Amino acid sequence: MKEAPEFKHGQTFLGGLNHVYHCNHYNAHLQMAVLLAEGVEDGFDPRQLLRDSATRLVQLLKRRGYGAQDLRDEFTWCGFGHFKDVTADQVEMPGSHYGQSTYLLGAPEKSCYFNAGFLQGIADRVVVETACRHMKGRTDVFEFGAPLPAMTDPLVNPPPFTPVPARFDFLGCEIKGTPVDEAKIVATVATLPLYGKPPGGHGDGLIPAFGVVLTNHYADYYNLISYETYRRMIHAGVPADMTREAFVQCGHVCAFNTFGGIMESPEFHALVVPMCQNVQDWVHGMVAVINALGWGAWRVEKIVPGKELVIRIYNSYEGIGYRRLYPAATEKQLSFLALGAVRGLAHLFWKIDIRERPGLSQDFYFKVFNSEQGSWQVEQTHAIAAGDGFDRIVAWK
Amino acid sequence: MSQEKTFRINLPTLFERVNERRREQGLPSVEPAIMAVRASIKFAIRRQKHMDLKDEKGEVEMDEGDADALCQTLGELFNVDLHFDGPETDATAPSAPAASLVPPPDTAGNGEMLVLPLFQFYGSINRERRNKGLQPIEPAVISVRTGIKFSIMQRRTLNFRDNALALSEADLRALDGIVAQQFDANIPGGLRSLCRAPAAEAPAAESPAAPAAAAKGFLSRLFGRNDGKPAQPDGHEAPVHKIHYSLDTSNLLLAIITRRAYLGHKPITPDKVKRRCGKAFSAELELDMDEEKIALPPEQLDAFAEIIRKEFEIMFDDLDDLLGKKLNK
Repeated sequence: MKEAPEFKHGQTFLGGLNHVYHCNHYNAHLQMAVLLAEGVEDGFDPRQLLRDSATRLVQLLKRRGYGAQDLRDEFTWCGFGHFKDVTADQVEMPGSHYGQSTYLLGAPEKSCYFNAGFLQGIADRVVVETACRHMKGRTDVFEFGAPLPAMTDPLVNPPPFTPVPARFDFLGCEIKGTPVDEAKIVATVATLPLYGKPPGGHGDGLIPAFGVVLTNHYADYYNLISYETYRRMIHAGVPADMTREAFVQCGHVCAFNTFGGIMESPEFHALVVPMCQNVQDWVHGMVAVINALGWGAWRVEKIVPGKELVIRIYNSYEGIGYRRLYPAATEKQLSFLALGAVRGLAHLFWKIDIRERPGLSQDFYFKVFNSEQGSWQVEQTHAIAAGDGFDRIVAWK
Repeated sequence: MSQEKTFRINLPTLFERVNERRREQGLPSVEPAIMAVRASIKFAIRRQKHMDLKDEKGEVEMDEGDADALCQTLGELFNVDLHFDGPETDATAPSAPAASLVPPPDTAGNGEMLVLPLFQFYGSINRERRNKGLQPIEPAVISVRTGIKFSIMQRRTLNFRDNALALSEADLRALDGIVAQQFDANIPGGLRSLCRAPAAEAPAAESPAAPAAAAKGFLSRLFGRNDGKPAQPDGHEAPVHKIHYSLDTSNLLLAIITRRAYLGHKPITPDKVKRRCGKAFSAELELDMDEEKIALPPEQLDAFAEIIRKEFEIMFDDLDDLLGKKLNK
């Protein structure tokens, strides 16, 4: 690895770029949400957006001094898999997060766009995926083509970071305290081996953990593909609530699988559960774990068990990321992941009771977790993207 | 002499069928009492006659036209597809949806709008996905993804919060493409096969010239093979087969415990489950949980399900599977 991760502002930085942990389910659903935009306007290809967004970030890292091997090492460390050179013009991926761990609900297609875009950035050549596990390929195979011109830096604005208040020490907070030791949880989670190991280290470049497969992804990649797609859909006249919901659902899936998987894990039950006396403490425990994911600094503002949950996020990766890409927005409901994740968090405690380890499966998600019965509403009242000092998400039943 | 068939319909069984279909689609169950009231009102408006669906005996008698109208009413009110398909279908019934629901091709080719019931839309997609060994997709996800794609392709917005959508042939073709692309599902005959003409339902059912196939709806097939039997052509009532459910008490305890665990409820010991069942069942249904088996007549079924729901906060996906149906002739 070129450099060690740096933790500040509630975020995790590698090469100056924020990295966030997300699971294969989130990556799959987010990619599918972006692909919905096919045909939204002439000349716009969502597949190209998925590829080129990775390319632009890799080119940015190269301008910051990264070499080809640094990039390959980081790719593997972040859990995307690993490359194997076949010829000078062909690479295959024996281990591939997007090829092995994500999925499509629609008709199968070659869909390792991030990998292709990453390779484009490394080689400065057009890269085409010629075989893919999603199309029953043995591995994912990529071929290099014509030279690719340098792309523009997408991060045009400075990040509007703000100081993060201590837990329960901010105006409007209705929580008095909790026996849950967040500092201890964050420090312990940071010691977990949540990184991809290369083949030389007896790994395949993937990060299986908590019943999902994680990546330590580039937050700016998520922001680029999400907000570019969202803005184009809105511009084309697709209703905003419908468009937003497509992205919020990704966060809801993520909460079920990742939060749920974490809270059912032996690690959580060994470290966090002994600190918990009631369901509120479980919420604080899970939020502490979230604060180790690089998503920004989450602060619980209010819990009314079974009725209301209010979360603030200082330096949220979505809010900060939006402002790095665009001027301040005129709408608030833009932290899609946070909206879905907070609704999912509420569902984990008060739609099902995750404390009883009900067992998480796709069938359970379909029949219970994502059914209309007992669902919570969610709304974003404050948004860094719109110029506020924090994101504030309110979920209620 | 009239050749029209009449049916005796067991309402608790019918309502349970509706709830089964709802649960298949990830929808919550509806209280039978609520179902009865709403269906009675809607049925009265549609057929201009009163039908007491809250009949204390739990049974109503009606002709085929009324039966199909009731079927359509329940379908519209509670978002369920009440068409049978698969191997259980009566051999004499048409395999395609009832003819009254689908206008002739030339009708729809003249720019007329067709009505696509959304519960059938979601149900058909997931049926096709299951047939391919794929996971079903929640209606919430299908509606959002389809809504966005449709907006982009047709430059028009559909309201997927409605129960049904009015669509042109071009819209339906676009939706067929979206379903194949987004959900890897091809509906046999296209989505058009799920549609009905906007105003065709009542006249088609009421017309004396309506084809026999049109009257062979859900209820005809359901009660033709279950406890409802058509009256004889001479007007004499046919023998009625009564269903008695024989239930193994230890299976019931196990099913309750398993279902509670599946839903994430706190565990209850088998002894406690048995005590609570015994208390509730003996008081309301005069059933003895100390027996190896208990027998339930149909009129006690909804009360039985309601006790389980209240006592243990669960509802079974398929009560018939749990109960081991037994037909006593």
